[in-house]
Amino acid sequence: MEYKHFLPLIARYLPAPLASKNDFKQFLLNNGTSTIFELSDFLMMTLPRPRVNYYQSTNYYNIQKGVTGYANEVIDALGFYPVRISLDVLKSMEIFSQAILFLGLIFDIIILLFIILSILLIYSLLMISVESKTFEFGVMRMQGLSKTGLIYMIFL
Amino acid sequence: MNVGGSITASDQDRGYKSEVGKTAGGELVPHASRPSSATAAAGLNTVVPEPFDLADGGNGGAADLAYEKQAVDGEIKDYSLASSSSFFLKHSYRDIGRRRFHFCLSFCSVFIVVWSALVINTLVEKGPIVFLKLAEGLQGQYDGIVYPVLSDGRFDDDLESYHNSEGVFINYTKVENVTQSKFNLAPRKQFCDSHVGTNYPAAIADMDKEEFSDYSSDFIRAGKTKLPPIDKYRNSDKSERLFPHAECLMLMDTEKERAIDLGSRYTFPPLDEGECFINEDQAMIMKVKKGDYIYHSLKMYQNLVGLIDAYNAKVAVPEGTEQISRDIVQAGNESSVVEFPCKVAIIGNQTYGKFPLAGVED
Repeated sequence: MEYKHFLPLIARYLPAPLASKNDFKQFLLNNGTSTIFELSDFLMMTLPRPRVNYYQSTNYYNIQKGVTGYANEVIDALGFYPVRISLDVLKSMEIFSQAILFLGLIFDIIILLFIILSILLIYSLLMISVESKTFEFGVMRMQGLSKTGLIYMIFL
Repeated sequence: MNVGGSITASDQDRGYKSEVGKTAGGELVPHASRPSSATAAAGLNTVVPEPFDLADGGNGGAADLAYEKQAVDGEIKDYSLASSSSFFLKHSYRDIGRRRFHFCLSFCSVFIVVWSALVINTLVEKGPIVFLKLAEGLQGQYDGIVYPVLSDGRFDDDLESYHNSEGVFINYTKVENVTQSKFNLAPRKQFCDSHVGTNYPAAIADMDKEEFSDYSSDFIRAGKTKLPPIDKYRNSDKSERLFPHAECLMLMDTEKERAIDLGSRYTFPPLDEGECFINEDQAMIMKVKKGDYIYHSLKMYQNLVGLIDAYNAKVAVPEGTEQISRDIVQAGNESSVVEFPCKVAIIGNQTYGKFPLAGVED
């Protein structure tokens, strides 16, 4: 339900003891919009745009630093004792950060396996290539190709 | 390929021909004794063979060869790095042509490793954003909730069932003044421990057009909405006034919340007077559709006391009129319960980032 329409609406449906108080009813009809803002149960807080930037780090402590930094500014402005802030998304991110670390570890292992496999593959191909070109290299060496030049040519 | 081979046009261009491969007397020496420009360029050794002279049977050519070496050392220049690289590249290119399968295999393996490394790196980098969206799906698209601290210092941070039991409020108007609207904050009110029902349509179904018109003009200003009157409601059969479904009624300021990007998926216009938003499950349970009336029963003791205080402070005291006693409303009985209708304007099928998922599922 919309905030500003609430008090003018219930002004017509007040319980019996208050329904007879016409001044009170009129007060709700005329000042309801401003008065209801003074009786807020809680305030919803969002981070400044672009709020995604606060959560982009893979390190949870950086995320925590950014979000709690902003929340502390709010607390500072409103007073430390009258209010408390609940940071529910950050709490969830703390749990998910473990998943991010775990995923990162798994992915690193996969990359490592890929690298080892490709090294082995390239090594074997290189060996095959060298062995099959032994005669060719021999001719080149005979014609004056230096060892350095030969190695350079193999790896090029 | 010109590795230690015959003299090529490029050798000639460089002016090697006149000296290389000849003795001082102008006789040709074997090619093997002549270090080519290519070998020199590629770091190839300058090979000086054993004395070899066909004319004197191999015995008297040492002096000639020594001369030739000097000539060679003096004239042959090293290839530049670019030239030797070009030679090796050409050689490698031809070699690739000869062994296409090997090349494809090694290329693909390196490509897969590099590609997967990039993809994984991107995934890990974007991981927090993915998890943020997951967290928003569970918690709502807001980063924090500012609660007032209760009299004993505790605070209840369970939004799903938050009920202001002690009448401790946050003055949003004052907050805006103090912070000069520097922070992204939007007010909310929530009435949990409330009930909702749909019995009343049966009662107003009996009303004729004239009767409906009378109370609707009396009820809502300018007749913007045509909600049923309280008298009609109160005179209806008591059994029809049951509110069987528990609810949490939440008040929100759509425009303020939109301004601070709270619930960006909520694209509906602000609700009009007497209109409300309900979720799909609730609508199904109550068997209501868009445009139907539902009836709320809110326990508002703390709020009514707050309103009485505000009235006394802003109207009664300044104007010297009679103040309203707080005792006029009592907690736990009908004097503090407000029952009112509202018209279903939107039936939502998700949280739109406005509420925690659990709050809607409950």
